[in-house]
This record gives sequence, structure tokens and C-alpha cells, in this order.
Amino acid sequence: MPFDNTDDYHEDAFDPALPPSDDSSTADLEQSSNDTSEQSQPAHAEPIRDQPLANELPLKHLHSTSLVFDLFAHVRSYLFPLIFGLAGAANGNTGLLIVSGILFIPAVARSTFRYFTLRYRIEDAHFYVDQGFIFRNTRTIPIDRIQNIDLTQNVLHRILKVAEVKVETASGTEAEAVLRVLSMEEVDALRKAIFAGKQSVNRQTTKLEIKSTPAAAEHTESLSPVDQPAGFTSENDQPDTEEVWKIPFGDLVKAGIASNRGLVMLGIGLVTFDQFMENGYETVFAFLSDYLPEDTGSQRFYLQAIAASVLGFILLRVVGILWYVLRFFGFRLQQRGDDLRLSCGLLTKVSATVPRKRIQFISVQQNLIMRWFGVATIRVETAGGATNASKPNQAIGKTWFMPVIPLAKVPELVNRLRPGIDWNMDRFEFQGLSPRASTRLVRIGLVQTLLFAMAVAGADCYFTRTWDTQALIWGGIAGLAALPALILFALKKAASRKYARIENGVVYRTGVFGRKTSVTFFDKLQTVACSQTPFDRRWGMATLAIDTAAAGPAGHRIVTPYLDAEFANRELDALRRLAVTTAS
Amino acid sequence: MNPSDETQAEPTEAAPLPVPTQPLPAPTPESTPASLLGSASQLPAPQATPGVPGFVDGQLHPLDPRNIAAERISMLILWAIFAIAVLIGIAYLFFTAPKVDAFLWILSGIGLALIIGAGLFSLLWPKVEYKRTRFKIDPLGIEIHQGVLWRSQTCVPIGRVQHADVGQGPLQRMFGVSTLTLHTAGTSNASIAIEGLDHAFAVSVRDWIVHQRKNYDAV
Repeated sequence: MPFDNTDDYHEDAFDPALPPSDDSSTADLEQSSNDTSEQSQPAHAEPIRDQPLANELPLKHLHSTSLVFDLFAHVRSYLFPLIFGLAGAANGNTGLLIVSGILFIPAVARSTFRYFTLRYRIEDAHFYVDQGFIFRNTRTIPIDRIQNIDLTQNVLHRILKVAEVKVETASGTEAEAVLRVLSMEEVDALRKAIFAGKQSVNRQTTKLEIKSTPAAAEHTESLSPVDQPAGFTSENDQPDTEEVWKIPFGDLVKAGIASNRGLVMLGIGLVTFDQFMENGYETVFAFLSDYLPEDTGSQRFYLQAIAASVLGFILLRVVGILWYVLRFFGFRLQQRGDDLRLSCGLLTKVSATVPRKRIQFISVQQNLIMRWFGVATIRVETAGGATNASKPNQAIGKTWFMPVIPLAKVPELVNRLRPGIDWNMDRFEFQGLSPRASTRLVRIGLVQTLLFAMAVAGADCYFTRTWDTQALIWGGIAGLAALPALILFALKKAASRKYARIENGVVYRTGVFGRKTSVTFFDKLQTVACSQTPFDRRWGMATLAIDTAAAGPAGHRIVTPYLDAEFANRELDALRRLAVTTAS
Repeated sequence: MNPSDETQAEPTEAAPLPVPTQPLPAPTPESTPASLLGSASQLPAPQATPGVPGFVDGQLHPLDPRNIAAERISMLILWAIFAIAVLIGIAYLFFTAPKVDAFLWILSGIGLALIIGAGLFSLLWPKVEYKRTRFKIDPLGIEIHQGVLWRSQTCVPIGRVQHADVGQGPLQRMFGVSTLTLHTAGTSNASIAIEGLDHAFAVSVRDWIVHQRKNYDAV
């Protein structure tokens, strides 16, 4: 450090008349270091304040209802043992209930302990979460590293005016701190303090969300002149919120019909039904019989079965629709500066923030039914933050970025996620697989047919306990039946896989029935690899794999197999150049 | 050739390495060693910019040959464990079997053949692997070519390296080689290891990479 810099510093610090200039970035730095040095020396006599700084928060506990919500969360995660326990108890067997109770005790103990020992505070531009009694554990998060604060509110939360708060940084797997639960006033105070802290530490970020503009304005007024640099207004950092897209109810219904979400739910439902109702299925069958024509004779069983499966199918779709409506009702996507904010939920309200700069990968996906409806799902992958899809906020922000959108709106939205992309399939110069790829895939299909025929023949042998011509005949029939389908599938598969390099990234598309089209960008690709199996070498082919941060949650990766080896190598070289020369 | 031989001038760890002013020098055609995958490196390799360490030359280089011996010994240790296990198994069969019949002889014959085969494999494989592994460093990044049956060519663009490690196992330390591991923010290729570089060379490469990293934002 040159000496004149330190001189500047003293001049700045000792001359209160000098207005903090915001023009030069060095002055800015000086200012912030000034702030922090003041705060970090409590022994320093000069700045004595009765009230804490706007960007500080005294030590706080969790809300008094936290214990209840923590217990609820545990009940939810132990739902299955609990259901089985209750089912056992209903049948007069209390053993299971005791076992599930024992499973539950440590969780309860942990929650109670957590509730009584957890404290958080903001000091010195750091967010601290203290936990533990004998072994105290303090988590320290620099304020400027906080990416966003996500809230989850279910019905009970809303009645009690509390929320579950997750503080996230760009780090890997989990939310950095989970505060379950805080009252809304505390949430507000926390947000304000973090926002203020961020301003004084790092004036360029706009990552943090502030609940409403009036609140932000209020807080800027309350800042002392020392903390508020000249010309600083909250509007500069918090540009207007722009409504991007709201999912109409009809689209949610379409998505629900297209999804197979119901399958899991129905499975759980059937198991529970089976546990609680004796002869439940017979009851259903008898119930169905009442509505079937009387004189069907021996066909009756088949009719019942068909009716039951139709009913099951309809139920599946209805459950799917219910799931989508519950989860995504009132889904809205807003843009504020560089942040995309999502919020949705009928009973449990969830909000999440996706910083646009962190988007690594965009995937537009459709299954067959969605293609019929002309709608698509958009998934994104962002660097850092938690990628645990089972947690509502993260699932919304990543896996379910846009659960359903009309196909015609996709280009506009993709362009918003990554300005400069012209999402037009006809304009992409798609490169097919190697010309020999279809031959190779058909050959794989032939091998699959043979294996299938052998499996059927083997099954016949197993059931009849003899190895005879009958087995061969069955195997042959199965093979012949499967052959055209497998060959057609192989041909379609070869034709549907496409790779394209566009101005700022790489597009990969797959899907015979459904369709997945994903794009990543030159400035986001982490490694590029080209690999060959011994078979690939025989066919003159190679696989081109592009790795990005957080690849995976979207269920599609840019790994293109069966490319012409020469082409793959050229691409490899081109991509490694573009990765470096394209500035992010 | 030994990569450390060419870079004797460099390993001045503390000296700040200059950053190439232009990240992408104009590509000029030149003949490079044949690539494992065909024509990739027939594409023009970037020329070394003046002031950049000598190893940033865009040429494919083999690993340190001392790595073959290190690798051989580590494979032979595994082989010895395997051989002892098989021999104990055979001995056990001979002692416990009711009578020594042809089947037992055949079984022990197979066991011995496996031991000999594995031994030969441990002796020969490191050399084969060595011949099939090449790396290339140029201002754009690092490229690793490896694999005998399953071959791959992995490129790590220079700005994408989050951090780099140089590690040495006890055997590697005996032979003066080490493993350079590049960590990226990626998912499936999150860390790429080059096993068997001269230790001093690996350290200077690591320092160069870490220095380069400052010029880029990786995620």
C-alpha cells in the first residue's frame, strides 16, 4: 500500500466537513473501510450512539412459535413412519406407533434445543447465527455475500404472521442459515439491516430483495449522513419491478393433465387406503358394479377392471391438476433490475429470487401431452445457492423456474433470462449426429430386439419348466413384434438429437416423444471434453460433453453422443477458445 | 522428453508471472504432434507470447517418465495383495478338500494364471498409459489427452479454474513426481487431475494458473 493512500484516509476521517464523494471508486472504498473500522473498534471513543446503526441488528431469538413449526417440519419428514404407525394402531398393533415415536424423540429434543439456543445478529457487516450451549457454533456470513433471503409461508404461518426465512449465499448445497420461524416484523428488520449493511459494504450489488419500496425509502431516510453517501437513493439500487409473466389458471390445468405427478400421490393414497380400509378394493369394485349394465355375465370382471383403470387414470390426472394448482396458484414472475423474482402457492406461499447473472443453463422441456397443448416448462440452473429440489424455494427457483408457459411466449422469456438470445429453432444451425449414427443406433436396436426375444423365451422356459420349440416361437413372436418399434425409435432418436452453436452459446436438443432443448453459454461453460469409447473409434464418432456449474437439476445435460469425431474435435477447439474470449 | 527439462529457467515461484496482454494470439498454422482423437490439434495452436512461461507453448507434452516407475510400484503393491489372497485361497482348498482331484488342479492353475497375468499387466500397463497421456498448456487453458481404450480429451479454459492443488503420495514423493489437480465450478468434471508431473514443474504450472485466474470471473 502506498503511503499517500493512508494520508488520504486520515484526511477523510478527520475532516467531517468534507462530503464523501461518490465519483471515484477509491473514495468509495475509503468510505466503506472507514465505516467498518469504526464499527469494529467498539473501544473507539468517538462514535457513541444510543441506538444501533441502521445496518446492525442486536442479538435476537427465534419467534416464540418456532418450536411448533419446527415440530411440524419434523412430523412432515417422519410422515411415513407416522402413517404406518397410526395404521398399525388402528389395527390394534401399537408396536409401530411406539417405534415411530422413538424415531421422533431425538428430533423433538433437537428442535427444543435449537429453539432455546439459536440467536442471530448483524454486526460489522456480518450476519452471525449462534447455536448450541456447550459447544457453541457461530456461523458468520459476510453481508455482501448474501444472495437472497427467501421466505416460505404456509397457511398457519400466515395466520400467525410469521415466516420461515432462508438466507442464501452462492455456496454449494444448503441454505447458509435457516431461521424457522421469525415474525414478519423481525423479517422486515432483518431485511432492512442486511440491505443497509450491503449498501455500506458493497454499493454495486442489487441482489437483495426488499419487500416494498416504501420500506426501502423509509430506511434510507433513517440512515445517518455518515452512512449515506451523497447522491445515493434507494431507487438507484432498486429499479422498478416489472411484471414478466403470470400463469393463467387454464395453463396450470393443462400442465397438471400433462404431468405424471399424480402417480406418486396416488401411490401414497392407495397404500394408505389399503392400510386403513379392510377390503377397500372390493368395496370400490362393488361400488363400480352399481353403475355397470346388469346383464354382462362372464364379461363382468373385465368390465369392472376397465372401469377401475379408467377411474384410476382420471384420478391420476385430477391429482396432477390439484398438485399444480396447490403449488403454483398465482404464479408470477417479476423482474427487478437483474433479479428475477418468483412467487406462488395456494396454501403455502413461496418466493424465490434468481439472480439473472447466475443463470448457467436454460432448458425448455415438453412431454408429449405438453406438445399437444402447445405449452412448455422452462428450467434454469444457477450457480450456487442450494440445489436441493425437495425444498420448496429451491425447487421453485431451479427445477420449476417456469412450470408452464405457452410455447409462443418461450422466446420472450428466454430472452429475458439471457438477453441477446434469439430463441428460434429455425434460425439455429442444428448439426445432426454423425451420418452413420442412425445405422449404429439401429444396430443397437437389433441387439436389444435379440435380448428381448431371448428374455421372453427364457421366461417361457421358466414358467413351463421345459425348453421346447414353444419357447422359441414365443421369443420369435415377441422379437418380431418389438423389432419395428425399436428400429423406428432408433431412427427417430438419431434424427431428433441435434447440436448447434449459436452466437453466444451452445444448444442441444433431444427427445423422440417429448422434447428437451437446452442452452448454455460460452462464458458459463466450465470444461469441455471429447471422449471416445472403443466402439466410437470403430465408427469414427465421439461424445462432446460440456460441463457447467450446477449441471443436473434440470434433468438435461449438454452431452452429445454419436457426433462425427472430426466435427467433435473441431467443436472442442472452437469452444475452448470461445470460453476464454467471451467475457462474462 | 521431460517437461521439467524445458522449464528449468522458470520455477521461480515468487516472481509474478506476466499476463498475456492479448488472450487470443492470432492462430498460425503449424504442425503439432498427432492428437489421440484425430485432427483436434492440427488446428493452429496459439503461439507463446513473450513474457509467458515456457511451458505455455501449446504443444502436447508427455508426463514425467519417472511416473511410470511410481505407477508400476503402486500397481505391484496391489498385485502382491491380490497374489497373496489367491495363494492363500489355493492353499486353503488343498488343505481342506477331501481329495486332490483334477478340478482342484485346474482351479489352482487358473489362479496362478491370473496372478501371472495381473503381474504382467501391472508391469506393462503404466507404460501404455504413459504413452497415451499428453497435456497441453496454452494461453487459453489446459488440455489433457488420456485413456487407452476409453479415450478422452478434456479442456479446462484458463479462467475457469477455481483453485489448483499439487499433491504427492509417498510413492510419488520417492520419485519426485506429483499430481496437479485443477478444480472448476463444474459438476461432472469438477476436478481434473494430471497425475505424474515433475514436482517443481507442477508447482510452477499451478502458480501460473492461479495467477491467471485473477483475470477472469469464473461463474
